[in-house]
Amino acid sequence: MSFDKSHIRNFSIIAHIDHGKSTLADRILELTGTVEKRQMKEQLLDSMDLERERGITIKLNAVTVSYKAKDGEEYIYNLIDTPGHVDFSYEVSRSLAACEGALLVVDATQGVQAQTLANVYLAIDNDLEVVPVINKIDLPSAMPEFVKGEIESRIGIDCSSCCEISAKTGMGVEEVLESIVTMIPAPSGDENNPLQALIFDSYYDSYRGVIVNIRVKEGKVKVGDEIRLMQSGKDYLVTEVGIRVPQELKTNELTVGEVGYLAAQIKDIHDVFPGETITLKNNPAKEPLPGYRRINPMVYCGLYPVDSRDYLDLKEALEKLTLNDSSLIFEPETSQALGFGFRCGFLGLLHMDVVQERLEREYNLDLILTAPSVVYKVVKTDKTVIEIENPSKLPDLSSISEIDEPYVAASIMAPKEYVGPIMELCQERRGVYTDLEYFDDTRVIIKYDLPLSEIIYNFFDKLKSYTKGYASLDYEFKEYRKSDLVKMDILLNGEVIDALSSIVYRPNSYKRGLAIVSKLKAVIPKQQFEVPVQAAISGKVIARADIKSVRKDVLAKCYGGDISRKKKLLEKQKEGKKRMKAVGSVEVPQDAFMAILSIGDDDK
Amino acid sequence: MPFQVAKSLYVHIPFCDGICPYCDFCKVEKSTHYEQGYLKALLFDIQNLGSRRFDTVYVGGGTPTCLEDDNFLRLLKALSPLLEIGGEFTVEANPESLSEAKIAMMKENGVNRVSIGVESTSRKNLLFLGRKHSFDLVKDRVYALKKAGIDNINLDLMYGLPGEGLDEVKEDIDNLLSLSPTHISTYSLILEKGTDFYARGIKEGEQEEVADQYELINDLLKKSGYHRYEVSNFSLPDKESRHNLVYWENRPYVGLGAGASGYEDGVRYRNTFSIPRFNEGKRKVEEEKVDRDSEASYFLLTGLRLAKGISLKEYRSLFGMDLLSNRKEAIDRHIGLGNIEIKGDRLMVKEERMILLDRVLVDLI
Repeated sequence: MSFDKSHIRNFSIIAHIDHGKSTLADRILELTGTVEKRQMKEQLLDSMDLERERGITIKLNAVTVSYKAKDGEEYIYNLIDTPGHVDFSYEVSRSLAACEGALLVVDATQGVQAQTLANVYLAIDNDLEVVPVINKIDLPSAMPEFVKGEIESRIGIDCSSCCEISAKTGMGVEEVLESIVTMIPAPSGDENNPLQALIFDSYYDSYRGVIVNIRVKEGKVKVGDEIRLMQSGKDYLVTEVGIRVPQELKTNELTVGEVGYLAAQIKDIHDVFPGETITLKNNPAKEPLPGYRRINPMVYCGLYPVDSRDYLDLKEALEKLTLNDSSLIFEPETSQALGFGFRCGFLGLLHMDVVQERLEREYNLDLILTAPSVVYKVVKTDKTVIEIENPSKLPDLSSISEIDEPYVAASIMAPKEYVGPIMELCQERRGVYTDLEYFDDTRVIIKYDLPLSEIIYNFFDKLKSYTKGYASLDYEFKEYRKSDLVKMDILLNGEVIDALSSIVYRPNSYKRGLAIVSKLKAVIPKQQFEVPVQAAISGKVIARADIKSVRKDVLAKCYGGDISRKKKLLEKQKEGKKRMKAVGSVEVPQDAFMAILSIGDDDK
Repeated sequence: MPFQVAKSLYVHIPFCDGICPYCDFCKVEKSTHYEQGYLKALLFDIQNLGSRRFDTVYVGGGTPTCLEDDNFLRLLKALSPLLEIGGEFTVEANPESLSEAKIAMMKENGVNRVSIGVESTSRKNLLFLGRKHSFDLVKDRVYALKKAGIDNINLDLMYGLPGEGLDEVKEDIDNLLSLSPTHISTYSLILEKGTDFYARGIKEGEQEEVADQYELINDLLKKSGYHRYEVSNFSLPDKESRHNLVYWENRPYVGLGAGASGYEDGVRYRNTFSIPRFNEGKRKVEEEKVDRDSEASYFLLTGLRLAKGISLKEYRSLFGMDLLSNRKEAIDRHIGLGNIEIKGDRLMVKEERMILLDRVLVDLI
């Protein structure tokens, strides 16, 4: 199957979360006959169980489909589905770099949202042709004309020939397929030029080694070619190339403009990273393609195996995951309380959550996560600056001259009647007001600079509940600012538990200490002896709660000889206990280490 | 290793004159007319035991004494020949149905131990528990048993009722002691799904209070010469329930009747709870082939319920591994916590920590 590149269209679908990207992708697969209707399931491109269960896209996914257009010609579409959550905007920018155009899906009942704007700007920055699509017009509350007006006036994209569709019913999707031909440019490049192929994703296959997803920008590549990774300088022999339809289909070669996969017996997962350029060893390109901006993780947490014997398995699992998820980083660390583990950096909380679940499901590991922390910059009295990703590593106060914390520029879009509550929430969270503008007659965009640490503690949930779910949020890192911060230690039974330390805003520390000790008291089961839980700053206890001792733990009734039932009960308890970590003499459940996260503002 | 032959027999009688609101055992009200069919099926199973003989036979319920007199007699006559000379033959009874006639039948057919469901001695708590007898009737029936020559008597008591006070428990114990039984079993109220109490949202007593009651019961009975040989069982010297010891010493036993469990030839089984299906010939509904690991767990979870604990040598010879090195971390921890101790060849839960037994078991099995 070889096509001249004027018949190839490479595009992404971008949208705010829940506006219908994956559903539109499903319909496109169905209408192009790529997937037979009986094999169709929802969110077909979302191959992770986790994605389907949560109804979100986490990973970008690429698929090749063929479409017979009204001009009688057959076209090859390479569609790349992208995530919509703010945590994963990095994935979006990666997929955009492999495309010439993007379908911008906007929910006709909700209109433009914070992530719509963020994704559109990413697409425009990548020089993509943006094709607006108004979705969910079958809903009674749809207001397509209004939404079109919004897109034209606020984003500046012409909506005169905009498609109005229902991805759910399939209405209008045919026109979308047509407009891809007419509106999105064919790829440029020349197949006679030296090979330049952009790696935009990769994953590990135990038989074939690392498989990379590539977009050929110049030249062509075939099985048997000797390739070179331009930045790492390593050479490999191509063993397989092909496209996804969506299952893998081997082809002879991938040529300019095409999107597909490539295997070359790449054994070491560290040798490949997205943004890398592949060229031919014998006829190399002069320079690599512009890669991706390396995204720095925003939040860090400790990841430890519940059973310390699983340490090496966890290491291996993390290595494999990073191949597929280059925004995840990790390095070994040791905790007195939890033993050997890793400090891991994530794009955000959802990302952290997803990584945890993937490790537990795909690699069958039992994990303890410590509460997430941002990266603090500590200026010491000798003027040296260190970065602290783990609160327990904060040096002694006497050697610190100042602590800086990351601030983000947040924009919150919401109906204007919620301005009061939103501002109240932002003030509570130490936000600094920067701007308020009317997006249209009914909605405003409120801009605040907020400490990232305040955002990761439950901010989004609060925002949703303050605005009955109407607000959308986007944010990006702005700068480091000096703050009045202190380290708060937690003591169990008089012992400092390093994994429970956190860095807190000093004026809030009493309330926070109290909230944390009460929360821990609630989540740690009764022990055989009374266990005091204390919060302390610089050795001074500021809050305390006591976990009562267990008085009775025996089933007095156990006769009739039905001992099997008793055994099952005990075995179930034992299973539960496996998920506990003995910290000193206290048995602490996994989720206690994350307990700080779920403290609401009411108890803060 | 050849399997030990079961020398104990449990027979279940799933009928009661009324259903107690806390009971989740296999039983139906007697008025349901399943009795004839049930007895026929049960007697068939008893006959199938052929020439087997048992050291202990235990007829439990339900309420065995609520059977019609002729059925009761047929049952005892069928069981009596199965008992080895010197064997223990126990029948459970409640005070109302423990008639002179039934006492006589029992005496005649070799029953030498009777277990009475007293449950409480106060009118208020008996009413709450849905029991229809009075403590005066209990006194009268115990006297009648003794007069008939059956003086190995167990009295069952419940505690841990919602709002129950220590003084009420003390009064119950004093009352039971006044009858000089050989054996006392005490059970804290446990809310089980499917019971009337559960449906009504009744709560068990507060953990703190139930713990205090448990300790009080142990103190009072100990002072009167009753030894707690198992978590909830007390006896005078040499009057332990030989049948129940079979359970705790992880020895095999045959279970007959609806809902009965048994353990033979390395298999633990339970019969159907459905009486009509039992009458139609249905028997085992759950079977667990006990492998060595599982057997080791059973050995511990039964054996550690006993005050004398388990023999480390026996554990080693049965399972080919040394418990102390195999479970070193957990054992050290619980010795450190003062929960268990090792005396010579035996490992046991300390008397004052028996109340935390399950915490020990969870770590050892």
